[in-house]
Amino acid sequence: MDFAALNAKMIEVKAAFPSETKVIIGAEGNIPYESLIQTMDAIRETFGKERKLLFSDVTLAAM
Amino acid sequence: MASSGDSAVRFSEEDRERMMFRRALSRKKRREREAAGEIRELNIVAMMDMMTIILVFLLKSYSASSVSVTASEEVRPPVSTTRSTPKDTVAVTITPKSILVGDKKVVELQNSAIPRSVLDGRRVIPLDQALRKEVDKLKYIAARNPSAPFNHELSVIGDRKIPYDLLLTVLYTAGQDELENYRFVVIQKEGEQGP
Repeated sequence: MDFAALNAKMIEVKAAFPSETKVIIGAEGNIPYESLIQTMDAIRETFGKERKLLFSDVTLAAM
Repeated sequence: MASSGDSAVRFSEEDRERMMFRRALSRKKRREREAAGEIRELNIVAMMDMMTIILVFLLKSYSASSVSVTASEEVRPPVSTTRSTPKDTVAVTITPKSILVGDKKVVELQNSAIPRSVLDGRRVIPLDQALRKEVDKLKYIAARNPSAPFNHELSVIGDRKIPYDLLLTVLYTAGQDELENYRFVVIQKEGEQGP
């Protein structure tokens, strides 16, 4: 899975809404926990050495 | 009387001579031994010094690692890049075979799904009861100790293979017990643990 692309997209969205910190993650029932954590990693902070917070308040959506 | 006094003086002079001779001899022997590289005696002061430093260091390192997370061979948390640190909260462990609150097993899973017999809608009855007990304990502490307030926090230690559906069911049950904020315990890429 291409988490770097997701991260790049989140940086774009963060640039458009700099004060927003909330994000809602929805997933299908059979998605493994590991993928959820990796997605959260890509959304919460920028990758690389210098970590900047993007959307740190994660809410999980229930289907 | 005078003669006896004389002899006493002579004796002491002889004694002194003999003692000086002995001392010189032992000093010579010691020098020889030192020259041969033999350790004369252990210097305990330096060792005590070292031990004290090590003791202080050990005590400090113990107090620094505030949270003990029960790791079992059944649960392998996912790897994450996060830098946050775990806190000491109610811990729910989800393995592919069972759900544990703290160290106690509360639900046995069947094919990594919760058996229908313990479900009430989405609420998992045994998990709910166990969490209720933990929350009551925390509230009891919070009511008497203002420095340890009840923070509605829950630590979830999940195996990397558990499905999202199971995770949400556990979180929903925890939500019924006023545990609304979650921390996911993961293995940090550097080898430490954090939510």
